[in-house]
Amino acid sequence: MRFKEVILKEFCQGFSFATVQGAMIKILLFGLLVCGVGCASVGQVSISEQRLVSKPNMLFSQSGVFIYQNRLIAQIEPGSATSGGGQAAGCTSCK
Amino acid sequence: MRLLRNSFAILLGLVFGVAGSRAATTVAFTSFELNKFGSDESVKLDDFAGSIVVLDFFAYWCVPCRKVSSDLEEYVQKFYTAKGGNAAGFPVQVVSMNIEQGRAAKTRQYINQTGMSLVLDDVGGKVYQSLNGRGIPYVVVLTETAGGSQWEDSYSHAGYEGYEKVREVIDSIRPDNPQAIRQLDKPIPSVAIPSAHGLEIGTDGLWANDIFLTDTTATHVFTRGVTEFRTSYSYSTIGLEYDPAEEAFVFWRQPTNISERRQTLQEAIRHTFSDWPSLTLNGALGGYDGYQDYRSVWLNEFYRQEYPDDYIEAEPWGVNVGIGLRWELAPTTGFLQFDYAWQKDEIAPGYEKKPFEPLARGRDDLDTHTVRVMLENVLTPSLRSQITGLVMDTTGRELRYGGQASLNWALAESWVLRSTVGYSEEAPRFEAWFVDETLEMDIDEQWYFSLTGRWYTDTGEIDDSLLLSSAAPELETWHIGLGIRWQGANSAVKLSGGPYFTRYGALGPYAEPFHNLYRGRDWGVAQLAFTHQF
Repeated sequence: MRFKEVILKEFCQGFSFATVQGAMIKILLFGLLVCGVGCASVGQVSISEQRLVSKPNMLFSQSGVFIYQNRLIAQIEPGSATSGGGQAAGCTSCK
Repeated sequence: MRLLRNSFAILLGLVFGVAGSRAATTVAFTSFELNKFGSDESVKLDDFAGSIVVLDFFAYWCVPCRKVSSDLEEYVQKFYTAKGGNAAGFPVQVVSMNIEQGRAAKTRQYINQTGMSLVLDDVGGKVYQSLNGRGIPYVVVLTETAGGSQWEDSYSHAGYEGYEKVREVIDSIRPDNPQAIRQLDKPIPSVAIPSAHGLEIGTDGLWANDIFLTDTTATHVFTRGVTEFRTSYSYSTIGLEYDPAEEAFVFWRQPTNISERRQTLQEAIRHTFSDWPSLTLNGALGGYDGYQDYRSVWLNEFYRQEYPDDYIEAEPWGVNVGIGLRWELAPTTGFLQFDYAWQKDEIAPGYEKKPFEPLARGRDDLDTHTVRVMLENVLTPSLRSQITGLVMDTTGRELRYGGQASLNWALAESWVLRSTVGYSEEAPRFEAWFVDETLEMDIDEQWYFSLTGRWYTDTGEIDDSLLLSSAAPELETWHIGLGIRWQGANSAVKLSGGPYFTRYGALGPYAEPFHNLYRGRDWGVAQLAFTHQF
């Protein structure tokens, strides 16, 4: 319900990017842009041209040998945590 | 919940709407004529008329192709040659199709290592394209059993389902006239579902002069057919020299050493239930016991000393469950994934004492619902992208929006730049940005050297406490690191590390007791990771 209210409010405000709702619209627009570029490119790069993008270090692997971000840093940086309730909420002691 | 329902409905509509228009069909295929690898001698598909032909499209740089090529030569070509044909007596021929025309020496090395016997050059991938190739490895079974040079595409699959599946397809091919079936020399072998294992172990360390953190995670990946089971166990430690800020007439706050540990168990399952469009269902289930971060430990000790009579011992734990759907837009090159996760956390709560009121203990149970969309794609021959957007709804808080965009860019033959930009925001005023850059250089085909940089900033956390705010002020961090990785055929090891600096802004008027928690620190960061496939 809140999601719908936020969307409606944002559009009623005429894309005021100074608000949180504005940030959401920015993310959506950015996502659509990248999605559009990305989807449009599917099939455009022929298989014989995919040598470089198939190198192991060009893949987005889950394996720790290809991830250079230390997992523990998320304990300090609340804005980079992408999962978890208390930590993701930003302040474990807040009400 | 309406958000979740609507999101699922939109995604399912999108996926299955598109999926419905691309149903797989058996197609007729006309012959081709190609040169043998490194030779002017040409080979026609019609040369194998009356046979079953297995086409194996590969390139030397395609890591998963290596096992496919080796398997098809050993367990299909040699197998049916020894048997004298398939179950109905049709001869079987494996034809390896090289789609990479450059670096012939590396292709020759690949051919020698996999034992391929017949390799053709598919210049420009023309045959690959005419057979609707959707990524490599790509295995196609063509049949011409009725004469007339009309070949039928009996099976095609981007990815690899195992040589047993290919044998199953081959042995299912029968002539129209049952009288033409030749008696088998040997019984048809039973079909076993292929399986593989992977093991990953990683240890991260982060330390300052008064804080020492570690996390060790072991993951076992078991793949059986089109289903993958990923089991992870993590053991984390928090070592803390608790040192509260000194204040006049406050004698009850005492320094102490604290040691905590957390254990986490996580299970994830992926099952591909549709070949084309390639759809995979993801499921996850897990839980942990212990503090999630050192700050919770610090604050918990503060409240324990501050309110000894009314403090209630905290026992943090949490569980989570998730489900998702992944659509491989183009196997090995692009996918769209949609996930939903629910997490329940029992946390160490905050306390607040207002004048003339009893001590108030904050909420200790939180529910978090997360919706995430991820898109990966190959944009150019040297650029691979991944974008993630998420919305999180946590009990008692406003919605949090986050997103990150990653680009892996092959700058040159031996140089790769991996860039990530991330952003998150939560009303009324929390904003965070981060940028990650890693430059990796291939020293040779086994050793890789990397230089990593990271910058993060946020506006400070949100707290509605009236008298004592434990929320972190604005934060800025930097990290620079060096790494080295060794990569073999089935194993890899990486070691990286470097300094990490955290600098907080000025504390608010009601946050003085937390001065030592939110002071700038110079940290050391180290990471060791190992993976092995077997």
